[in-house]
Amino acid sequence: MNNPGYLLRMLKPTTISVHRQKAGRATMGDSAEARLEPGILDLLTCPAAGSSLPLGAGILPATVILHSAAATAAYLALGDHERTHKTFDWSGGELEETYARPVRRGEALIGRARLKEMRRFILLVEVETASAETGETLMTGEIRFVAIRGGRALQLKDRLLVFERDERT
Amino acid sequence: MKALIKSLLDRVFGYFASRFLQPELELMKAQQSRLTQEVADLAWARAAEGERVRRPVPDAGVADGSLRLHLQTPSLSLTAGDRVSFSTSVENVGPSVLNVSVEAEEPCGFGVLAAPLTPMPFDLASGEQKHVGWAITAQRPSEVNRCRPWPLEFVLRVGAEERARTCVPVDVADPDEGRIYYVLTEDCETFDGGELTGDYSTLPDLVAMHNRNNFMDPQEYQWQMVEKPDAMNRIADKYGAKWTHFWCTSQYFAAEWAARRSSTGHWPRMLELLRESVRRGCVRHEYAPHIHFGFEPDSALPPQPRLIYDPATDGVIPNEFYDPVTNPQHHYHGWDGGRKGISYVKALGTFADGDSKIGSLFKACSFLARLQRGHRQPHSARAGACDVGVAPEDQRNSTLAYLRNNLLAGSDAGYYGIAESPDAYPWARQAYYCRPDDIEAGIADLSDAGLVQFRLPTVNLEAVTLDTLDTWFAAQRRALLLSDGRVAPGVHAIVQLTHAMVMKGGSGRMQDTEGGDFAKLDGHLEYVTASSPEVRFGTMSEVAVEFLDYYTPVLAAVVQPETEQVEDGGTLLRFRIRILGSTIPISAEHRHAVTVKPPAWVLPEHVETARVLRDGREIAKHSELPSPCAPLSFQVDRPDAVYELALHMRQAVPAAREEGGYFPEQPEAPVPSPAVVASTAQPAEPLLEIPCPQVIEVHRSGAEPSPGDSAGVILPAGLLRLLMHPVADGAEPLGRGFHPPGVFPIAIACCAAAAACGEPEPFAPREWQVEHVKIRWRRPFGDDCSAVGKAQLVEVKQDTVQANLETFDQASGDLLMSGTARLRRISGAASQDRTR
Repeated sequence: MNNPGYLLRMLKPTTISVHRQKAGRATMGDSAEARLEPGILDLLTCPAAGSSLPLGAGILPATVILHSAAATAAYLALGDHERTHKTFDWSGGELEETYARPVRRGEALIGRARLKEMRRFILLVEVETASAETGETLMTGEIRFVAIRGGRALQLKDRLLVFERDERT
Repeated sequence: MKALIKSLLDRVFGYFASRFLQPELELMKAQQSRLTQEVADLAWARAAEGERVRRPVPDAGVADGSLRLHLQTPSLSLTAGDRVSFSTSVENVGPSVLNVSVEAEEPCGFGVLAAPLTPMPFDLASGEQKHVGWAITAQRPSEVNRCRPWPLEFVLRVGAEERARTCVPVDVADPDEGRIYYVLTEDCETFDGGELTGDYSTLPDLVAMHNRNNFMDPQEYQWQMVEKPDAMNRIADKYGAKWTHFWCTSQYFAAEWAARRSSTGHWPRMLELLRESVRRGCVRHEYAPHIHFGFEPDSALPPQPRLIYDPATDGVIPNEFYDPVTNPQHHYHGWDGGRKGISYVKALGTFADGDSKIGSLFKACSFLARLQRGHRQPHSARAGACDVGVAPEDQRNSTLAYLRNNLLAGSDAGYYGIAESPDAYPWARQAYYCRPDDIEAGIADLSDAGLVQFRLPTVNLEAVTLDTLDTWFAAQRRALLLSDGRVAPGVHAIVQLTHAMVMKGGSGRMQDTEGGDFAKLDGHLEYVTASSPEVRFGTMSEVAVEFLDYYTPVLAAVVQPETEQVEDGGTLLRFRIRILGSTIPISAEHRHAVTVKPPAWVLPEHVETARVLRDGREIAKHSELPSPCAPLSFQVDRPDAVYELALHMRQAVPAAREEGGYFPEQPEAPVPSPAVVASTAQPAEPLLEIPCPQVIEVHRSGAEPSPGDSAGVILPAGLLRLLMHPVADGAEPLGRGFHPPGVFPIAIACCAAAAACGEPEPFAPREWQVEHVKIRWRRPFGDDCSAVGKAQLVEVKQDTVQANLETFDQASGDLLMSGTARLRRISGAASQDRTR
């Protein structure tokens, strides 16, 4: 009997690279890549506990996971994990994405993001997602982020992109 | 002098009466003359009980030879909404008369309103003629009055004495096009085909499809009451159609009885499958009472014992079900018994008496209302074998039992009555107000209005070819159109009937749910949606409510079960109330005494107080419910107000489940088999529940996607909570990297778009894939949020559709996301380009 070692194994997304033009802060043109393993997709596309429907019925996991991989990379590029202060949150405000095809079961993904432009209230991030196995581009698009504090969008200032300073100082 | 003093007193009293007492007098008048809901039921309850007293209408004109009442014109022809001036005149050809007045008596049903423009009373000198002006409002179409002009009567009085009376018929046209609903019905029960269950020698194909073991066994229950109805639901969902399953509750109770005797373990599983089928299906379809009383295990009526269990087949059958000599017509298979030649469930009875009409119906209504809690409350029923009795008193009791159980409609007529064409139907239609003591006949007068009857068709789906079925439908539809092709005013129904148990798949095997009759159903609905875009689909209860909203002669009210909110830790239930009679005037001057009944699953012992709220403020309070389905009275005097029913419960009530609610009347112990002794009476509590998403609405104009097609789906809370939290001692949420709050509102709206395209599996689409999205997130998506995704197609091109998307928080109604999506068909050809 083939023993795969795990009955259920799901891995955290991993950072492949983050390219910064200036240390300690995000700058337009910075980019990042993240890898998303197929565990979450496999979990959501299979029925569980005798159900006739997959666990992810209703959330189109094989399609929206293309966004998920790219969003993970976008948060990396924004430096969300590097910030020492959490006085605001980056949050998706809008997106426009084009999908080539849904992801196949067992297919790992590479999400890529590049900070494109900062406007008064939105920060534009170019994104794409590719198959880790074939390199085929599966999704391209743009996510527009807003900085949220207390439920309201902040006016974007350069200092918000600095990781180790409280933007209030 | 005496006459002058009397005249002055009348005038003074008249002033005070009009100034201070008029509203109350108007209300009293309304209550007396318009047959308001004194006890519970609609106006017809009184008619059914023989209380109606019709006042003779005297001929117009002169009453005493000296005073004459003239009309400006003998009749009026108006359009609903018109306000016109009208004149009556009083001519005095005798000596002087004091204290003359003319009073308008508006017809039952509020079709025409008349307000005087001339001060009254007045005096008339000898030879004098006085014009009395009126403002006439054409309030409701004549269609409400069975297409007859509204009789507006003018009464001439001297003092309080009536001297003359005349009537002006007012014909009121409806400027709006009518509505046609296609009501698909099936009787959901089992068939075995064995020779001990009946003589089916003339139906060899039907018999061949079944296992013919002479008992109703779990296999037959599963395929005929679960799998086939489910398959029919799925086909209907493709076209936005809805089934009304007249669900044989007594067969469910018989299955419970069998489960207590069987050791196979099949029956407990079957009971769960039956309940789940109803819970799952009721989101879009309806499950309404259908009682074949022979299956009722708890009855004290003959025959006894009630049921026979057969260990060899693990099946159950009613005792004395059939005998070729002594019982060829299955005489215990009906309800009243009159149609089967016996006396069976005859007594009107009480809610507590299960062998009475009220009690047996209540058992069915309560059971089905509990299963469909949060979604539906049955307002229609079909008796087993359509047996509501033959004798007028039996039919009247059946009608009253329906009404007391808040059943507004029946679908029993036409099974025994012969009417081959729509012209021969009462009102020339399948949906009509029936007489309480003769359901085959329509009412003669609007004041008799009561139970809505949905007459059975002359053509049954499974018994004819697709061509015949389509031709029948076309004829029914044609009969409801005017010469210019528009739908005749009013609310109309085309009713179709089948039994899931006789729906035959292509292979002819009982378990086949594809091909054959199922393909025929698919083809028929494709034909209906393609050929008749003006025809809508509705369950029988939905259409009954729409029918009443148009035709009811008095204001009525129903609870909207889908609006149920559980508050205060489960001790407060709130429901929106829908007021029926949308064209009946409502104002401070037109106040209405109305009653509303709580859902049938709410038992009196559950309820401490019941309050009716208007815009959140209490306007009526009832300290207890005297019975199930008790009528709770309140006044309606503001047309735009929000009316709610608030029930304060003695014990906490769990929230309704998203996929169909269930609040057990009593804690349900697992059904023990002889081999297993139950160790606990505690109902099992779930460790983890993730409800399925559900399609809640689909509006499609044809089989192919078209601009304007739309759908709504709901994603219940559950999965998000699982993904947003660590499990099994994990350090991070299970959905780390998936960004569930961001993708969920997009995905659920895209599922709605797929449903609008006709995707058979919108939650895991096989035929459509999302190609492009452009959206804006509006609000954060919370852990406990149930989301409603909606989509409307705006452009259809070769193999692609463009849809507008919106996702809402179900609880608050807040918009969470909006945008557009483009979906591509994975295989097959799309229809021609169309742009909205």
